[in-house]
Amino acid sequence: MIFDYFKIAFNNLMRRKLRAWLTVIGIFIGIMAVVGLVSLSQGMEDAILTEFKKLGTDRIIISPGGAQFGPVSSFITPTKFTEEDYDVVKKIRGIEISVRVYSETAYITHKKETKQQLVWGFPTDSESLEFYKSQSQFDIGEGRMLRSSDRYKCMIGWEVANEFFDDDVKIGNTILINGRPFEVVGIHEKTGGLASSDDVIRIPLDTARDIFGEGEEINAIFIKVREGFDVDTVAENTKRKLRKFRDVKEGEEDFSVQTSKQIIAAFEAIFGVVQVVLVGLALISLLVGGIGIMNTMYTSVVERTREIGIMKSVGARNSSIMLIFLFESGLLGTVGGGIGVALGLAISKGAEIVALQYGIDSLKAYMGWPLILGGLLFAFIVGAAAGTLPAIQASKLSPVDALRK
Amino acid sequence: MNQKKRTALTLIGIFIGITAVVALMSLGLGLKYEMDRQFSLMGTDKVFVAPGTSVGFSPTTVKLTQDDITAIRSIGEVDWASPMIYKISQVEFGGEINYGFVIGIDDTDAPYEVLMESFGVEYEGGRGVEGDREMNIPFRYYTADFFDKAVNVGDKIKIEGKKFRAVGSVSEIGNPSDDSQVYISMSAAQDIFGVGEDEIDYVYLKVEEGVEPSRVAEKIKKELRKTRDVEEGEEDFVVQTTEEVTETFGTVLLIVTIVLAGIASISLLVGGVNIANTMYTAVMERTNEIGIMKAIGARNRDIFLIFLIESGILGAIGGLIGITAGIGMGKLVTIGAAAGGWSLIKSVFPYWLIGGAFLFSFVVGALAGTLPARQAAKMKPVDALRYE
Repeated sequence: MIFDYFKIAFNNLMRRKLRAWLTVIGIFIGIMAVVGLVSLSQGMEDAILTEFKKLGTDRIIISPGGAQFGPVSSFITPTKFTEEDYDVVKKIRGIEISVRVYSETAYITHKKETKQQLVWGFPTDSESLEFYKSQSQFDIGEGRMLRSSDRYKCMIGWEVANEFFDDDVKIGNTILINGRPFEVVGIHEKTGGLASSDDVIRIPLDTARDIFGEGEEINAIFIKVREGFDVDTVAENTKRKLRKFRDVKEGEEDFSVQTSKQIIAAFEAIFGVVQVVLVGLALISLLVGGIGIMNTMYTSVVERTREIGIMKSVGARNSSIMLIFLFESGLLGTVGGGIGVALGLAISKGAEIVALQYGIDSLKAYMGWPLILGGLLFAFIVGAAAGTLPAIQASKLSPVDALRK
Repeated sequence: MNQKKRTALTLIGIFIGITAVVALMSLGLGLKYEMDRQFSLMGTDKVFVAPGTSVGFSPTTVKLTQDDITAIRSIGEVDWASPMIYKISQVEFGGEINYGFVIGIDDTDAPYEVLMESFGVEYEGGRGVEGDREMNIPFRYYTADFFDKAVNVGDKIKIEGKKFRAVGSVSEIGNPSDDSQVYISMSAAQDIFGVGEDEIDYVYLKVEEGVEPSRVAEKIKKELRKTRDVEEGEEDFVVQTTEEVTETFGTVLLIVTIVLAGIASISLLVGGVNIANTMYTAVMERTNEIGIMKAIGARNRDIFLIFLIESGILGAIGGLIGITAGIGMGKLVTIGAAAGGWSLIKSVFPYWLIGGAFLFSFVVGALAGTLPARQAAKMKPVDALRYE
């Protein structure tokens, strides 16, 4: 039964091939644009999210100041954290491990060359060291990790070792940090990506305090939440305890507590807006394509007035007439959709390949089934919806008037 | 009746596309004009120096030092130089606490009011900062947007717990963040933030009359490369003239506008396809009429032109409606943005945009109608007359 409708619709469309094709072109251009854009934007978002997730979804970052720039917030605010803040935080339930750091920009000297770079003081107690072993940012390429007994030793990132200075820095070399000699005992693996350790210089926390003379100051606390505990709850608890300790009101905190989820959500929100804007614009062309279908169907109804009259006089019901026209417009939409989806994905995949040639590896094409099926379904709906009014008009024709034309 | 419906639908296709393109372009151009206006307030004889690798704000961990400042001031062609520092700090007014940017400006070389031009503002009331416990307040302070109560010149505000008196207020910049930043003296900033003199975030400077700013920028780069011990191409600082900054911004804005308008114009392409479709139908329906015209002497070229111009007019009318709607949309977005604190988003409608859009819609229509018109022109009168 349904198959009959398809056959009828197809044959009718074939009678006016040129018109049908032009209408299909209108739809496929729109679908191509929408699918292509969704594919690229989703692909990019997924690629970047994967990078983010490598950092772990159970993390919380606490930094001083009302800004939310993560661990470097301390550089644009005068608010400070001290060991006392850390003592409050580390006791909170649900925390597997908390690492406090102190970082400051210092003058690094290597073989007569001096440059400014950020130096991070990390705790080197055995618990923290165990933790670092599980963090990919701490992977050692050459040499070894800092030990609890180390004082004036440092670990450096791949870029610091190989690109920062004219001469490469090797294991065993001594570099000066603010004039004090430090032996390089470890060089990190090259990481790249968002949480890259390539340009870090790490020294023991106590040593950092010595050479920068900042007593008990810390400027960021990193937390890993224990399995089984809800990250948001732990974050809320932390905020509450810190608020009490620092004597600030809710909403007026002079510190920020951010979960990795919040950071990801903020990022997704921005990406979402961009997607909506781009896809929204592309949808305009689909709208115009739909109008094209409507136009074609109206013309079709007018041309076949007589034919409709005959169909009705031999017993076709109104609903059958309407279905015939709906199928026709739906078919137009779907064919346009099929071509559009295929071309759209081809273009986005092509863009991915071209971008790779230029060294850009974050432009990826998303080609999942939801997009393909969604695109086809959407095209069909646009087609059917566009053809509704003409179809209704056709079904309402009175046979007597129709036959007279 | 059906004919009218068809024409209307075809017009809608073009009108939607033109509306989107005109609205987008007017907003993009408007933004550029507004930024150009703000930068021209400064004058083209200014140069900006900042640590880090991009001129825009980013919490860099590298700073400029006194040696850098001395080196800059030592260059003959530099008229005056003003170091600045900025931090996000706690501000309190009327028992209410909030957080915002506080900028410390060193006015040893030039008057405070002149230095404020680097932010694209003028003084609405009061005067520039003179003492170490004085401050200038931004737009959102005196419009009661930042604190619940409006802050006026003469009021006292606590920054990091220290009392400051507002001695002047400045005009609106156009975005919520910049319109919430306060200005104090450099020494006050160093005091309350506890920073040394080697932690400069920014330098705003003016070159001597008649000197080419880009030349001075190059000299500054050379000097700073020496004081900071970096090689050319590996600088950990940025030096840009006002011209270079507006250029960079202009280029970025241009690319974004073109991409967005480009996507919107895909709908124009589809609209053109619709026009072609309609014209083919029209040609078919008027086959008889074409036959008669040819029979009484119309040449092929005449038929061609008739249909071509018809489709061009279809495009043009759609374009006209679209231009009107596009202007309306652009103005609506501007009003909405201003209500949300983003008054730097403006829309402009230069005559070339309007004229261009009109011409473009005519051309799209005409192009779309080319093939159908040719088909009409090629019809054989004999067959045409026979058509029922």
